[in-house]
Amino acid sequence: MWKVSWRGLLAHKARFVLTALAVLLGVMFITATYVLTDTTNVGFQRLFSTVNAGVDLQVRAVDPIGGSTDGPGDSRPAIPAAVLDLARSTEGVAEAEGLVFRPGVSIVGADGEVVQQLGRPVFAVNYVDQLDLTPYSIREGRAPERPDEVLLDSNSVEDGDLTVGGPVDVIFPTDAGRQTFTIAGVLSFGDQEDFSGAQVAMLETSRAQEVFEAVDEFDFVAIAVEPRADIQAVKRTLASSLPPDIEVLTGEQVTNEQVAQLDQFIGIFGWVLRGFGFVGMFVAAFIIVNTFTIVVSQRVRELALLRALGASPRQIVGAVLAESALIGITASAAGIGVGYILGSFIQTLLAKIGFDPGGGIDPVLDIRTVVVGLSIGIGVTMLAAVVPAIRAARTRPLAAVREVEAVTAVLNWTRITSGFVAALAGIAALLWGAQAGTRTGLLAAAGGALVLLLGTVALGPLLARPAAVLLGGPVAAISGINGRLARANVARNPRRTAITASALMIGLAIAMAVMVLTASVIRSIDSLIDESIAADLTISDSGPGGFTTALRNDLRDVAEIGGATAVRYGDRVLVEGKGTEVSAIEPDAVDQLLRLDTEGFAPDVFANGGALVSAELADERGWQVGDVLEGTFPKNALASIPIAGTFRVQGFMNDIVVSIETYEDLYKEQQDFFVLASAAPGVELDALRLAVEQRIGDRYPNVDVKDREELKDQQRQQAMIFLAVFVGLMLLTLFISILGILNTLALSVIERTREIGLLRAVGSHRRQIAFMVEWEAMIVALLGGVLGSGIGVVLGLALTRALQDFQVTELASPWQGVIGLLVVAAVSGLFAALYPAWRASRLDVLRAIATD
Amino acid sequence: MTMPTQTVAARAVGATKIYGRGDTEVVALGGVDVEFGAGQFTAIMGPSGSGKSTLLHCIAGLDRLTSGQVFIGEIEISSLSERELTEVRRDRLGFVFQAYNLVPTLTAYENITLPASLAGRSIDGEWVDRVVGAVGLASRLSHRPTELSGGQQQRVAVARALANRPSVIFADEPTGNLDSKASSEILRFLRNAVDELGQTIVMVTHDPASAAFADRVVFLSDGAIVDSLTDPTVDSIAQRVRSLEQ
Ligand SMILES: Nc1ncnc2c1ncn2[C@@H]1O[C@H](COP(=O)(O)OP(=O)(O)OP(=O)(O)O)[C@@H](O)[C@H]1O
Ligand SMILES: [Mg+2]
Repeated sequence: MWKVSWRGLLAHKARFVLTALAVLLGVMFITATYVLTDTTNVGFQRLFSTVNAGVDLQVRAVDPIGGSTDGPGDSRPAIPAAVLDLARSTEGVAEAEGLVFRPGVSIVGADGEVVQQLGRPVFAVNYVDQLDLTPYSIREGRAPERPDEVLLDSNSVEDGDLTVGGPVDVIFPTDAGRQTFTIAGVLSFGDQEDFSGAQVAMLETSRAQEVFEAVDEFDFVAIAVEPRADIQAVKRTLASSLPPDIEVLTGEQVTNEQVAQLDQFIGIFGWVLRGFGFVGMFVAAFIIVNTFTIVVSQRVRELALLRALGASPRQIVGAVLAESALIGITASAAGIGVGYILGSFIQTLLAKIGFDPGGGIDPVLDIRTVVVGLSIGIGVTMLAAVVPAIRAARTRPLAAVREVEAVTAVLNWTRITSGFVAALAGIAALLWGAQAGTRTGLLAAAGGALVLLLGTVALGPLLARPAAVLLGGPVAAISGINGRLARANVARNPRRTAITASALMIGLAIAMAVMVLTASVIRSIDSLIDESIAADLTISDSGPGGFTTALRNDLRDVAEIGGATAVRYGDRVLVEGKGTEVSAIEPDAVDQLLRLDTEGFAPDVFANGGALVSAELADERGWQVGDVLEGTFPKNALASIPIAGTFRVQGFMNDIVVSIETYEDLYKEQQDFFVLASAAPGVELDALRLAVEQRIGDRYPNVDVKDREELKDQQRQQAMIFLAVFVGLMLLTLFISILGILNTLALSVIERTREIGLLRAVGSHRRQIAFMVEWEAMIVALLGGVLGSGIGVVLGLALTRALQDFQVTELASPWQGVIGLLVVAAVSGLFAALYPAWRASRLDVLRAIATD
Repeated sequence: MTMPTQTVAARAVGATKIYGRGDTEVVALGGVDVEFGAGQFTAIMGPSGSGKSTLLHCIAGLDRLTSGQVFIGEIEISSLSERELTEVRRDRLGFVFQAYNLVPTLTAYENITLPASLAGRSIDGEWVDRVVGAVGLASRLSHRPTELSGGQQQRVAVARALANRPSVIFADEPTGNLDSKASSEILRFLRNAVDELGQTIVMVTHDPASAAFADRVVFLSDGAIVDSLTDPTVDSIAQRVRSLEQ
């Protein structure tokens, strides 16, 4: 029977090419994301081992929050400089250096603009004699000898058009603000010329401590042990002489910790990307089902002959499955190959724009990638071929002599019932889950969505006819007989039509849901800004981070400003035993610049170490105004904070809001994320803006001044970027479903060779035949579009509802999206039908008549 | 019987059709000259492989000659573009094939009016009613082809050919799949169409009994016309066929 499978494939190779292509695309995408994330991982691993290359041990403060925060600039307090002396005098320690290492710095280029790449953090670090204990070395120039000298990385020097010996301004996210330095030299990173896009400013130690308000403190101490010393032994000795809130790690531990943090991030990112690949494979499965079903029905005589000659049904199933296995293997192998190339290509592109961890490492093809790619590719192909294979096996030997009738309309009641039940259950789960707003609810909603999709797929054949009548009605009306024929063709094989439309439906439903969600998010942002902020102007960093607290001070004596406040956000802290985030504002802002809608607000308490708590959190935890909260904070390990009132409108605030002064007592790092300002009485907005811009002037090129509308625009833009990326990725699915329409139509055209020949014989123009096929495609695609946008709207609204806790409060009208989606569907259909229509119109009339 | 001064509905001049090339070359038609008079019912007969279908297809504009000319009325069709040829077929010719004459998704009525629909012409309801009445299908018009018997399907095909009021109807073994009763019904319709409506019909057949319905029989052998009979009877045809086969 293998021979039969092989021959079968060869004889119908054109019919399988598109099937294989669909599988290939899915596997390609999955492979490419693996290659990308694996390579990035390996790159970062290398990067971090470089960072910690010369370091045997690291001493740092214990994270008081217990590792609930990540990344540089976490909530670990600084350690006293005495720890460095202790380390140096410890037995077995060869070298030790104390380091101050902080993000959030901006380096100003010769043109007065900030030198920045891809919004990645720019660090400040102090110069130490033993540079081996840092990843840096001096490539050009010399060490900073005076507090006003600085070393910069080569990227900053080149991109900023700066020169050694010349001046450079560095802006710190602290009170220090903008400061001028002389460039003493250029740094290189490990063995690499460039820094993989990372930027750094290296200051003389006392200056670094001063700038970051860490006098006589370090963030950590890096240690190299004596050549023959036992690292673990030194670690133990050192640890035993340190207080319990200071810990000692080996260089390896530090590297592993950093890698693990990134792994987690890249891992999530990879799975999100791969999700699109899986959706693509799911859609590809529909194409496979259709292709095999059609090919089997076209070969019904051949199969019947085999049966008549004594092949058992099982052998027939085997033959069909073997065919699918062959396709699966070929397509997945090719998909892995192409995916690897695509992954490498994207890696190269990323490197071009400066994202190149580890610097030019080879793309990684893990064995796991190959295994996953092959199993998914082959698995999906074979699974999708099971039903057609069984149908093939049911071929009766007698079919060999019977005329094959193309019009079939068998409706399966089990299928319809289960479809209905599934769709209803799906909607119920979706609505309930959305209403619940909990984690379980969200899962239920997601499950419900999937069940709803599957239910609709099952119901598809039932919908094909009404859809043909409804959607085909206008078509038939405007295009006469071609439209009527197209409509009839849509209805003649409901199952085939349904599967083709379903493939399109899935992608469109997901896209629609995300569109509704994004639109809702955008509207929520608008109302969020209107409802929670009273200020006229917002000043924020042009990147995602914060900026110097000095800016706020510079604005203090601007006459046009009636009121202003800095806004700070702190890392997660423990309050009454639970992780919570804290914001800080100036006391006057509570009534003037924000619309917090407070209750029981006691300004005195707030100004003197008190906190405003969101009504929601207070309710949840049963807190009353006047209660005193115990919290663990980075700077002041334990603090007691009285509740100075509650607020109802959260807006841009976290659940707990304290005054800036209080915040400075609690947190190590001080940087502003916003400065809000309102005009003084009688001052026009334009005048205010002009005054603010003049004062900030060229001094802080890293910040933008925005009025309310601009703020909304900016926030909207972020949502739009998310949408654009998402839709871009959904194109894969759309493309696969277009392949599906193309394949199904091409096969149908072959199936209808005689009919088309007859039409041509009695006077159909080629153009008319082509139109007929195009119309058919469009009706099928519109069916997919209607179903997809319908389900997508329900899904999107449910999602929006489920995200209410995340301040997505407004429901957006989806109409524009629906219309857009229908247009996309129709165009996809027309596009997919180009080739089949051309094929159909070129069919040789006589061949068509003579086909038997 | 001599024909009254007759006009020619279709004719072929030096019609040559060669399939393949070199070793595999098959001369299906070797320079055939033939005329089909208007209002006449002509049958084409000959052994299997003699070129009957090829001749019919070429004259009917379904296939193109290797050399030679074909005229439908005054129009020389060998030089027409694909588009023009399609329009000639649609507007001036009718077809009845041996099987698979009907579009399965259309009803009998829609099939009958298909050429007019394709042309975007309005349908001459009175005429269609008359044709439908003549072939006895009035009660079956809303049925789809699968719901009709083989004989009924062929009657629909004949009705479609007639409904268009074509200059010529071409039929390739229209009764090849039918039993003798259904056959003779179809043939009687064709005969009536010629007698009562003045329709021109060219029909390929194997069967002397069928050919006997025609006004004239043309005999084809190895791609050439070898004989013809006017006002044939079953006997005279059978005799010729036998002599040709020797
Ligand atoms: N497409 C083709 N390619 C090659 N040769 C062909 C083709 N069509 C027909 N022929 C050959 O041309 C010759 C005439 O064929 P045609 O179909 O016209 O015969 P016919 O008289 O209709 O026969 P039958 O009574 O069996 O239908 C035959 O030898 C046939 O093999
Ligand atoms: Mg023939």
